[in-house]
Amino acid sequence: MLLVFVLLLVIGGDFLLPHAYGQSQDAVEAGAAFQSGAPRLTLTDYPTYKGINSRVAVWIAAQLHLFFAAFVLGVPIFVLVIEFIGWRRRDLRYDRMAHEFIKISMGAFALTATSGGLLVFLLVVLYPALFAYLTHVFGPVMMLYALLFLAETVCLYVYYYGWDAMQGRLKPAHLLTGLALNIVGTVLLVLANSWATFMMAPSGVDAAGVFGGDAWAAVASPLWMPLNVHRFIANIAYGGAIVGAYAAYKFLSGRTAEEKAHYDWMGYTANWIAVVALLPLPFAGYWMTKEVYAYSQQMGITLMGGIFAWLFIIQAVLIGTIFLAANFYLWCGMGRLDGRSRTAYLVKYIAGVLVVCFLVWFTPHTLVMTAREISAIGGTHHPVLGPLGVMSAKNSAVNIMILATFLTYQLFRRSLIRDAPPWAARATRLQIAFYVAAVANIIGLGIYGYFVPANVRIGLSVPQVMTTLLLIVVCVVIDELIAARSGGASKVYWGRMPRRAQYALFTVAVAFTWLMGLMGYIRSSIRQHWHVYTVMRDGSADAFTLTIGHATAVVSVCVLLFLLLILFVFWLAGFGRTQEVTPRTAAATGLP
Amino acid sequence: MSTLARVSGYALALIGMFTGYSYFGIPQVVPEPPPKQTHIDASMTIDEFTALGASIYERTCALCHSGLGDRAPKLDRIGSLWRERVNDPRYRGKATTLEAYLRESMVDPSVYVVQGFGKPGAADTESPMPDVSKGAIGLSAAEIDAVIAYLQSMAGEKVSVSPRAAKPGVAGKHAEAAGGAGSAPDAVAALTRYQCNVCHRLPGIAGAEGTPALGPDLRTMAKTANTRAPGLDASSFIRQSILAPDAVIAQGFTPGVMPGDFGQRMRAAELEMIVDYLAKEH
Repeated sequence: MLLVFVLLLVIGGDFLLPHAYGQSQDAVEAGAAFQSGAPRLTLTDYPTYKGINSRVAVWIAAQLHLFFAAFVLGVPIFVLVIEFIGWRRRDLRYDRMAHEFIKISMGAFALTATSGGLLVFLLVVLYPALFAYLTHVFGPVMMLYALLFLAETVCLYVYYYGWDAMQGRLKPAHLLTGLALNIVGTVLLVLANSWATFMMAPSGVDAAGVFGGDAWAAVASPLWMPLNVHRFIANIAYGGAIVGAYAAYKFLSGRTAEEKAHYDWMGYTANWIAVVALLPLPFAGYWMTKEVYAYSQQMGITLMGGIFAWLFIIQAVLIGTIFLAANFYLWCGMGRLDGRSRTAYLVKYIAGVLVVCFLVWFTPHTLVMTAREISAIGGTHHPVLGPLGVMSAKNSAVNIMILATFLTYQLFRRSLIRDAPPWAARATRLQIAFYVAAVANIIGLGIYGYFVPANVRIGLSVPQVMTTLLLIVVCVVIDELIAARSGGASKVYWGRMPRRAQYALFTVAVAFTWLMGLMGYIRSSIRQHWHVYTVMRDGSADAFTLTIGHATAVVSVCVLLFLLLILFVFWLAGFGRTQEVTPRTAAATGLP
Repeated sequence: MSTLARVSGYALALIGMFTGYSYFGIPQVVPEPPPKQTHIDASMTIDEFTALGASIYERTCALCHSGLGDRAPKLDRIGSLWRERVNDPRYRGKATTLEAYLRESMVDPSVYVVQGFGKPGAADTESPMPDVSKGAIGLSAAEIDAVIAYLQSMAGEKVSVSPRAAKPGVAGKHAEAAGGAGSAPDAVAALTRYQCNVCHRLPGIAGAEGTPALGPDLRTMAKTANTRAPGLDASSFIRQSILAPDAVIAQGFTPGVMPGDFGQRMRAAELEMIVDYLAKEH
């Protein structure tokens, strides 16, 4: 459906679209060739249909498409990695899990195409002038996109349906198919991103919107690469969160111990993927924001210092929820081990650190306030809590939250090690020393940030991040050395998890979905009353920024619709189980 | 099925919680509507024009030039600072007046970057401020003039721009068209409308005998105006004398006699027509 629409519009766009939107003669003339740049739109250029709010309709369709697209592009990335690990280790459990992950993705793929088709349809019908202009600039890119979508479909079908047939000697070929699937998917992602970033920071056109004819220049907007990196990482995290919810659902509805064990392991793996991919996301976000400021200080200030500043408080709540839920799941996972872990007492301290860091992150800085509020607070910033609202404090808090989460993982992994070598105690003390030094460095840099100019302060986030990453790498290396010299691993009783832990996985998935919807809204709406920022003004009746409550209500509707549809996908995935998975279960004798 | 119902209920509760927090835990600020092109014509008074500049400034500039944080320098002392800035070796512009400096700073902000306010890594040679006449801000020439008027007024300096200045060379010849509704068609009509002839002798106006004891003879104003106040040319002196009559009192006359409210009553076009008229020899 999407393919048909895109092909129709790309091939036929030049002669179809100007007539399609032409209620205003001026707009028709301007849009027919776009010789004089982007058309100046008036209310009459926007067809209206009774009972349909054009903005909300396109918003919901676009958001649903993004949810599904993020999922189907993110899942194959880690499916390929898991399949590869299973192949190298000759462990069928990995192969089975990877296959099950991609099965869920298959169900979502059809919904991705459907929602994409709906989006194109709504854009053509409700925003014809905008679509015509974008087609004028991105015609060849859209054509390439349509062809790649076809290639993506072929790769996915071969990858999924050829799974059983391409075992043994054909496994490398199957892996290569998975690699092709991911490459094509990533190219699709970056092409679609270029349309979004062109609308935010147009390139390849002059101030009036006259297209210079170089499609690559239009693609390579200043915000394109930061968005590519951000979405690529976020898709992996999101894919992990959603399949984690799937595993939790299957765990809760599982009837046998074997089923529960399998889905517990799957949930653990999915949560691990989601959290690991989540860790670099704040830094990708900082890069994106930095580039927004570099492109347009006004846009940057609109983003962080105006009405949208409140949305970042909601973002802090959501990310805090994700971190706390993911950690809670991990703490519950200690119950899979024999006896009480010697490090279990640390959990309450880790929880305390996470809550404190969350509260720091949650503290607002520059907010839109009424004169009465300013007077009540005694200034534009809170006299006591105000200093916690600046980036120095927030950066420090985020880094420490990441380290606390990593510590939780580390405690679980270290609890698995049996008969550690004699030098392990010294190595552990070294790790503790590294933790202390790293936290001191992060906090020290944070404090130093209060005494230097803003441009230096922003730069301090780099050594803070490097400190965090370095500590993680060093600790992983030390743990691996200890594990390699140990007497083996303790038995893990997969499936020995409380039901409430599964709800933590749902919490991660729901909060993540809501977060994506919220951040998508922020990214898109900082264009304010522009379709294409500074080039093509929004002349519709909806050219205003919504109140926060109204905007988040739409986000909630999007999330609700997505969750209903994804639950349907989960249910569908269960349908095929009796015919396909059960025979494979017999082969997978080495269940965890 | 019961698992599906429980899971759905839980997800619904979570979504409700996030939505509820966004509704009730966060202030519901109503965003400003998109800016519209401001209607400016020469029938505005200087005070209206300055007030308009203030509103544009508040809406467009004040978020950065507020003194909060370190986004952009405050402009409250610009009247005393601009001279040292244009004399700074780093200055790359051509301004010789405050008006020109402000205009230059708005449309080409990188000609002079106040220390510490440049783009990161650009060593204060490149300003992060956009050209306000282009892009998302996109102020018209008349709107830029209004902001200049406000900044000059805020800095305690003489306002040297007016709505007419937005269309140079137009208002003088086509004052009626440019002046808008209610504006006198020419200088003589304006002088008559505001009853200047009651106190002053005026050039080229038959019967404008004035009342010599109340106001100076203005028939020779064109010859003497540029010497009356240091630093002010003839036009500026005449403009100041109308807007702030007590700034310079001619010998033999009493302060406080001439009304000080012509800034509010007189259309900007009328003011400029009168200034031009009196500054020329007749």
